[in-house]
Amino acid sequence: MLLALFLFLPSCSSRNSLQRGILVIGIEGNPTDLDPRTATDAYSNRIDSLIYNGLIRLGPQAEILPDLASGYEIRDPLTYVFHLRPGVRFHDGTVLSSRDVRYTFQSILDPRLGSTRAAAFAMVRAIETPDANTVVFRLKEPYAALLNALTTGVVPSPEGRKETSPPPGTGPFQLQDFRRGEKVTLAANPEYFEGPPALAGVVFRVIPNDITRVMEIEQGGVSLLYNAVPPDSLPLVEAEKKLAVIRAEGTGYSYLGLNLRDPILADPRVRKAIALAIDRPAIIRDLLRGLARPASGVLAPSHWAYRGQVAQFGFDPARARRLLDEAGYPDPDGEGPKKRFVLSYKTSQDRLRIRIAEVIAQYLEAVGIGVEIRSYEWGTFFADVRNGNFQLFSLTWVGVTEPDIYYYIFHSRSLPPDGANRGGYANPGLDRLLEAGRRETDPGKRREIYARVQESVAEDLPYISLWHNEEVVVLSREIRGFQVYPGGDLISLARVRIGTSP
Amino acid sequence: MAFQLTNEKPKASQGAGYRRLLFFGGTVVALLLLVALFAPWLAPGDPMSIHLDSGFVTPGPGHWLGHDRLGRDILSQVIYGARVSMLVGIVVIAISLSLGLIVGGAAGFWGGILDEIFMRVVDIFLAFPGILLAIALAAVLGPSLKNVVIALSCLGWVGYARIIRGQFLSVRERGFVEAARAVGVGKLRIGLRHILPHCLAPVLVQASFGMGGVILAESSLSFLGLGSPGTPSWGLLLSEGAEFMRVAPHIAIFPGLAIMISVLAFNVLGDGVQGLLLKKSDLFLSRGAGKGGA
Repeated sequence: MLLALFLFLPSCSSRNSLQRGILVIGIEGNPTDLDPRTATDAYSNRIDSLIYNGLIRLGPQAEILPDLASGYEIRDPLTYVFHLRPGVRFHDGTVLSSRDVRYTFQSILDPRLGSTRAAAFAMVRAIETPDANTVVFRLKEPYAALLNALTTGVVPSPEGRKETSPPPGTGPFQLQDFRRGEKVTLAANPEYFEGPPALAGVVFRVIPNDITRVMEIEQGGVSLLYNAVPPDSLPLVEAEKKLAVIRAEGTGYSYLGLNLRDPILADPRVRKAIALAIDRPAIIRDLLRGLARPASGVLAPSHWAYRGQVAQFGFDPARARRLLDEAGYPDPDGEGPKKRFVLSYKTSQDRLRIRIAEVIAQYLEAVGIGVEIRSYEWGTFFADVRNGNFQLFSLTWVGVTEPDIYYYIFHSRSLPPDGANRGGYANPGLDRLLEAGRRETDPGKRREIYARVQESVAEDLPYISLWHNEEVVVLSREIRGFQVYPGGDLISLARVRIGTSP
Repeated sequence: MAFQLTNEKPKASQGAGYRRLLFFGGTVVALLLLVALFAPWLAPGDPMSIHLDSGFVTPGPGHWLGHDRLGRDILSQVIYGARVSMLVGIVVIAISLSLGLIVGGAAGFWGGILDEIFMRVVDIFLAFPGILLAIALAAVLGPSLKNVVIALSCLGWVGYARIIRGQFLSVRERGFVEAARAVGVGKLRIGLRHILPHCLAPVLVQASFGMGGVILAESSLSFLGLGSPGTPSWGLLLSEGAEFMRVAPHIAIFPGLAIMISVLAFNVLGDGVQGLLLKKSDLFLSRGAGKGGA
């Protein structure tokens, strides 16, 4: 009897799981905090998109769609009214009411929770609940980015119930088991307000090693990988007949960060020379295997506020050398080993990141800029970046959906810890535009303001834009109906079904 | 395994076996040292020069060992890698040997409380799993070649200290030392002129084996990303090869072979030296004992 059980156990692979309606997803890192109010890492956010609902959600083009709120009205730039869907239940069976919504956002604003999302709600003066299905947000001053922030998952008010961590949600799946560093198991929510999902459950398995992860999906140990296959391994999975690869334009933005307090980098001619010296199409073609597109700004071309006609810096090393000469940094010995100046370039210990740094260093050295690459363990690297302790670094903004990110990264008041203006950029003209962009609620006028923001940033280069990474999803062909959403939202799993025919 | 057999041969041919080991090991080691010394002339190109459009090129004419992910020539990297391995090996052995000589010599020579203290320190170091301590040290100090040398030297000296102390303890009781003492030779002079030379044979053997160990340890640290980034090193290339084992196996094979051959060569050389020198010192000892008795 026991023996039979042991013989049976190893065959419980993902293939069997899939037949039982359970989808196993491989993730690279450990989700650290599933509470949607405080979750910060990409894995937790991805899992939360299945457990929780916000008042609204974003569609594939970052357009605003109803979620827990069936509709909303902006009475005036300071008053937002949301009408909740009636009869929505949390996973513990209690009915969602406007009190829960108020509790969620008030607790985010409570410093005791320590939520990094508090800044997004700083403009909220009061949250009113005139009845069980209506929520009114009153603002201190106009703040157009509020809607985007209201995609944050709503949790129940602890009044009169047992508190659990993480709290129950309203989404298509409910948390069943959370084993730190190993896996997160979700079960379908039969009471989901859009109808029960076709899947019986979703399991997220943590597989940090690239090679293991790729082998797992080839052998059927996992059935879906979201942006978790290194570019060089993609041909291996593409050759596999039972796997499909979905590629979609991504919202990730990779860039070279510059410290503008540095006397060399403060000169816009030097920044332009750096931008001109890097052959981005070649890096994308040969190193990223075409899984990216050259970027000219933070917003992806599919974004509603994207502006394409901005200053572009193609690969032109001759012009880069002229600009550096003009800026007063002549090359001491032309082709020789001496450099105009040396910059340090910080990066994490990710293999691809180090390789990108090595290639960029070679391009910069070709125009006479010396580069010292320093790679650090993630915690040290990120602390240095936040503290402004760098000359160059490269990072990626993921899930960029709200143009107000420009305020967060370039407004002169957004210095860390209040924002992410890590290079210390200060441009009064841009500051005024960014403030206007926040106050404007008319989408047409906002688009015009952000077009000017993108033109200004592309001209002055507080960042060197590198590329927009493509979203790459590898999944079993038996999975039907998966759709890519910006920022790794997995909500389409609520409608996914398992195909019976091959 | 073939070398194991020579040990089992009748005694008469044992010397010849050791000589063969010495010859084989010595030749390969000499070649390695020459490659390391003349790397810039031997390598077909700059080992770190990136050619993005020729990543993963397989071995063929003009690029005999192929290219790595960034289109860097693997042959050039393996040749320059010999430089790093030999340099780290020699520097680490030199530092370890000097430290070991001072600590072990002092402990063995003076004995008593000094010996007690020094040997307890040695015990503490020996209690740590070697490579783990090196990894921890290199991780704390940060990735660089200098720190790899520091980390490996911190471990390496312990073995020499023990051997030298042991040698001092046994030799200082010998008849000829007693004789030297009897004719009024100074204490320090006895230590340096009469005892120290007897440490040469075991220390030479230990150093030869040690080179192999250090090369392997340096490769391990580089493999883990604790070596110097931007310096061509076998371990670094091997770790890249491991990453692309399924896409481009040639990247891992050649640095792997280089590590294997050089570690084997130093170990074989060590065996040869051990066989010959210890035999000789046996003879020497019996003669010394005879003299002492007379």
